[in-house]
Amino acid sequence: MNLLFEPFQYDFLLRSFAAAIMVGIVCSIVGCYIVVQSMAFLGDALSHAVLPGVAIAYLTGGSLTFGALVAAVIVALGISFLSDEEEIKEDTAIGIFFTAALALGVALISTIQTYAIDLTHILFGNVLGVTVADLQFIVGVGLLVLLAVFFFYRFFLVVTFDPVMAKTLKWNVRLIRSMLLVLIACTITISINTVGASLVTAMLITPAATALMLTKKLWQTMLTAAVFGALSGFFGLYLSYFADISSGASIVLVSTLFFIVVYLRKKFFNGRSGLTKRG
Amino acid sequence: MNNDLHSTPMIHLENACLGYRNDRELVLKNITIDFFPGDEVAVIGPNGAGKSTLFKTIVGLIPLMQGEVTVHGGRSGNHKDCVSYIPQKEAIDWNYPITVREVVMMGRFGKISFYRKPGKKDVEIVDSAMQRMDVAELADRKIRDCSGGQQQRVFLARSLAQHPHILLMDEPFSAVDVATEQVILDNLRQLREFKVTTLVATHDLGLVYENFERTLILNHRIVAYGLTKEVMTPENLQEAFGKKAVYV
Repeated sequence: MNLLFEPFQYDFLLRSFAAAIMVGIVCSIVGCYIVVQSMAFLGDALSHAVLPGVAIAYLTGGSLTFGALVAAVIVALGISFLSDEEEIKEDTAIGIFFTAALALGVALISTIQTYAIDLTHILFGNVLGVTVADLQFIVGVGLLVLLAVFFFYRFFLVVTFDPVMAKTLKWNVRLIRSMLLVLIACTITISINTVGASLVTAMLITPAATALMLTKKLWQTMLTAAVFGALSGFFGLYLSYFADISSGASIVLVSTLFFIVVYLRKKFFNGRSGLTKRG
Repeated sequence: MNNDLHSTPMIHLENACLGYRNDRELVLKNITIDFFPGDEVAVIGPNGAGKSTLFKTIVGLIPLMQGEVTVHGGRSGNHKDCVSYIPQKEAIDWNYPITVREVVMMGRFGKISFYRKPGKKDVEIVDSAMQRMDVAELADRKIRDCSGGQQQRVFLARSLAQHPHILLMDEPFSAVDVATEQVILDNLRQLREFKVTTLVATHDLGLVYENFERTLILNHRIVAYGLTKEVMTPENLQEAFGKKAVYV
């Protein structure tokens, strides 16, 4: 019995659990906007776009997380700016910016002689190495993102569901979309310590997609996704401790398991499970 | 009656050229037309004739290329929510996690300050709009789980809740059941009594002939505009639609 509680004796592990749960919650809630707009590609693109920021921060001795944040926000605004042109579709704009940022990141990293372990942590996460300062950053930025989602809920709802309606109401659709992209960029930045840049898309997409099968309203989808995200963060980390596997991978696999269970339940017990009835 | 000398036009277009910024060809050239309060107008014409472009310009979604468009005497695009526009069904993502009641409540968003929750009055307006469109019993259903006709009614209920002065509907009758068609037509008639100017783009010429007082025939220009019985002549229809015009 004591063995099961062993992970909670260590301060650094408690920090890791706090980080994993917070990231699980924020990613899942923000991810709902990505899933309802079928923009999984955007999450993937932004997560890789952090690379040049990280590389520059590394070369100049700055904070890697801050470098990642700046790069992600710049790319988010760039995508928003380009996709406003009539000739360029949003997914094309994403493709252009994302690959350019990735290439720049690779170019910068290739100038670093000793391939640093810190950079692999950016790609695959190192939740066990979360410092007090890291945790403060994750919780601080995470709470800001959640507050923004709460405060601007109505704007984001209309702009993602019916942008034409938002335009006829004379709302600044471009500004609202840019804000949403910046929120996604912030979410990705706080996630790279935990699950890493290469797996953060899963945390944005999977809990939201799972919750979408069970709910009728956006805020319900968000709260349900947050529960799945938090559980994935907790159990993923817990399992990785005992099975001695990469924590990021473990968290993502647990969230995938939730998805599969809900999907199968929905498919084979349709109408009897969940909150939604299909007409 | 509608062209009463004393009434000012709700929508006024003068020598207006309509089209898209990056296309060389204009969709509609040198349009001059007035719509008055209470006008109920069917807009007909072949595909690509400019029906949607006209609507999008009036509501301010696309900029005017040349000329003048005024709504209530002010430039189009300056009005917050007195113009309600229902786009074609294809423009909406029906998979979104949102209920019928939430969609209809959006009609109130132009009038509620963004930090406020919808008040009792807003809820009452939404309830009555849903009842008028016969979707009240679907209020808590996910929009995806409604039929095509029901979805169309939900969007018209949203427009009613907006209390617009001008209502623009792009092909509300395509692929809907007879019941929906009747509910929409009944409500258009009521809107006329409230002096709402309604423009409806449609391909159903029979329906236009039976139900709309006025008709605008478009084909990159105004082919004819006036009382339906007067403008829906074989000659005008042939001019708009070509040789295989449908005789009604």
